[in-house]
Amino acid sequence: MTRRPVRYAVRLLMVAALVAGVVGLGYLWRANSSLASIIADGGGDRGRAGGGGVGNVRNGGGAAFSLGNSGDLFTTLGIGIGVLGLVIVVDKIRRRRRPVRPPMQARAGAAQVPQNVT
Amino acid sequence: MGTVLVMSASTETVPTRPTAGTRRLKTPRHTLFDFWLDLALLVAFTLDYSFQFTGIAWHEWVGMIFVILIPVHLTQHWEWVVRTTRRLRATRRGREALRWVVDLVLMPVMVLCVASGILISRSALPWLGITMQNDAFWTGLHTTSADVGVALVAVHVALSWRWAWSIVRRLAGRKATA
Repeated sequence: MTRRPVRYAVRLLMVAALVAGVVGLGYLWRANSSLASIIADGGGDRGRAGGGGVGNVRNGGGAAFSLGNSGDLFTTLGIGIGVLGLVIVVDKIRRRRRPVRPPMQARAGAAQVPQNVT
Repeated sequence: MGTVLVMSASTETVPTRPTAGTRRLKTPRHTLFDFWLDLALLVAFTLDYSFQFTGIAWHEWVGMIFVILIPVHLTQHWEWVVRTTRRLRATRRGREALRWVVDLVLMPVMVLCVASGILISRSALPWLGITMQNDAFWTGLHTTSADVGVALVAVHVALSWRWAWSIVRRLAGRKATA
């Protein structure tokens, strides 16, 4: 009974170590001036340009929700739904061209054999 | 025999279809937890990316949710990551390999996005009495990682759409029968 929480805690610690490693790499990146300038310049330009997303963290955004700026939310939803739709359509086309066989049939290589429904 | 219990460590398991002998499908608790956690992450990220809509205070406080939810999400899927990594070393299968690569890129992108967001906080952390410095690098990293992240999150979700859709259908079916 106590095994599962311990196993979960161990995994969580491993994930925390991984996250800490990635943040550490971020600091290393910052320390490397030539690489850091790419990111700093890019973000700065977009920050000044305004527009959607988090690009204007330093310039825009009031303190609370603004229904008047719901266009920003719709832009985000548009990007998400657009990419999502594209991947789903590609997946559907791919499945139609090459239908997924049940594992047993695939292993046996018996695509012509109808599925045994009991 | 009124239920079919789908037991699997994989979060990508598509629930089995009801057969003639089954009346109602029971979704495993861990699958439901994964589903609601993933949905919470998706809603939080969508809101957080819409900075003009939320405003700085909500943007940062919603962002703080990721500090807890991302490690939990990774822990929940740790077994899949380990298993798929081992499997891909043997055979490189298209769809699974794509998902693995997307996740491999998405993880550091999201971690850096959240970390840089904390490091440039000007509402949430100052409210807690911690003042952060305005740093062009972290601001730029936050912006860039968020822009990359929004596309990657959409692909990440889309690659699991069959699993998500099967849970939605099952939940809808449960509501209908209740």
